[in-house]
Order: sequence, then C-alpha cells, then structure tokens
Amino acid sequence: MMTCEEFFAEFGDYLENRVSPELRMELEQHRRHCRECDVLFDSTSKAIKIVSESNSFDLPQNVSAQIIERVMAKLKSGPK
Amino acid sequence: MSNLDTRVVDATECRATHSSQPVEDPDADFVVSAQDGDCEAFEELVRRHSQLIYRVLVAILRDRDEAEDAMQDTFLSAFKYIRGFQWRSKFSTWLVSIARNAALQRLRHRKDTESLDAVELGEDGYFGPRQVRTWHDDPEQYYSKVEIQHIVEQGILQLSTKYRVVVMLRDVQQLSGPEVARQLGLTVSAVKIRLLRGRLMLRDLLAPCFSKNAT
Repeated sequence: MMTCEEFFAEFGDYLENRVSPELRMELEQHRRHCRECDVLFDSTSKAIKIVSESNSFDLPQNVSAQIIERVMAKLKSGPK
Repeated sequence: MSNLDTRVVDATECRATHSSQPVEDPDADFVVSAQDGDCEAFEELVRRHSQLIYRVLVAILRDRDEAEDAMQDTFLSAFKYIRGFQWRSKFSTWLVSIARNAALQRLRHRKDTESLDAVELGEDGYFGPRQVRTWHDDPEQYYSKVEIQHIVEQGILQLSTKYRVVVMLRDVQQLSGPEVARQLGLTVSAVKIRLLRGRLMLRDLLAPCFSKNAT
C-alpha cells in the first residue's frame, strides 16, 4: 500500500481530479487505512468548495458601473 | 525573481504600430474595434474583464479601495496602449499584466516591501498542513452566506501574495490551472505548487471556523 508521503506527492492532482483510475484506487485505498490523510483530503476538498462558492471579492454592480463610467468619461474627454 | 514580477508590459508591444493576425481570442472583434478608437468596443472589454482585474488587484494590494483606483489606472493604460497590442497573448492576459504593474507601482509607492518581496521571491520551503480535524459537511448550518464570504475573504487576505494571487484566480475566479499560469506568466508546475500550498494554508486558516471542534 502507498505511504503517506506517496499519497501527499499525488495530493494536488488528486484534489484537481487529474489522476488515472488506477492511481485513484490506490489513493482511496490509502485513505481507508489512514485517518490523517483521509481527513486531509476531505477537509481540503471542503475548503476549496467553500471558497469557490463564497463569491469572495465580488465586485458590486454599482461599484463596477461607477468605475466604468469614470474610465469612459476620462477616455472621451482626454487626449487620445 | 519570480515571473510574477514588475516588468512593464512588453515595451515593443506598447510601441508597435502594426498588428499581426489575432490569436484565438473571444475578445478579438472588440479589441480590433477598440484599436481603431471605438470607445464603445473598449467599454465592452472593460465590462467583460472588470471582475477578473478587480480580483487580481485585491489579491496583490489587499485593499479594496486601492484596487478600485488601480482598476481605473489599468483600463486607462490599456486604452492608451491598445493600438500596440500585437496578439502575442490573449487580450485578458495582456490586461492582467497591466493590472499587475499598476498594483506593483502602488506597492512601491506605499513602500510595502513585505508584499513586494512576497510577490518577487521564488518558492520557499516545504509547507505541511497542521490541522487534522474533520470538517462539517454543510457550513451553512452554522454560518450565513455573508458570514462565510467574510471568513473566506479574511482567510485569503492572510495568505502571502504569491499564494493569494493563485488561489484567487483558480478557486475564486475559477480559471483553469493553465489559464492561471498564462495570466501570471508562470509555468503550469509553478502554479500547481503554489496552488497546493495556498490551498493547504487557507484550509488551516479556515479550520477554526469550519472544523467540527469549532462550532
């Protein structure tokens, strides 16, 4: 069975779902036997999902509109 | 020095007056019109990319108000130099490079050497995760969406710049790994390394709020 070090070496690609089916089976087998690696994978996946769905640093529509308005006003009034 | 550096957008690109054939780029038609001085076409480009540029600027500057000002500078510079844009990259990549330069000029101006160093230094040592507690399946049982957004934003702002920018573009803006690499002028493998470290650091920063012992 793969070691924790070998598991961690594949961890980034595993999170990105970029591993072969054979490697995935090995990684999942390791997780069944290693609580720490299982928690690491599960919690990191959940963190990515939370971040991706958080709408963080969303540019509010009204702020965006004001900036666009200012930029276009400067472009239309200033020298080309 | 890393590729996320301070170079001004390719000077030859800025000075050139003859465009070659456009690379495959969804912005191509609007860019060509904007190069002919069409302000409405340029306005469409600004609309399309304002969210991306804003997130790049916040990631580097860690300040929303300054990011808004730098965003204005970015688009004004882009319009000034758009006639010299030669399709060596996608338009959005060129725009991001202008935004990065605008942000880095501001960091220098505020003498923020810590952030400048973080942007310019190469890879650092190994980072290993520290938190091994299980997480809740549904954080919305414990926090509102607004609270989650606030927690995530505070966590991202605590990352050092080189990780913050990559996490921002990959996980917040949801660009692909290769696209993040193109936007930042990094190799795909450098992005993979920074992304994994950034994600693990962010996981540790968020754990006090989302792990089962936390709520």
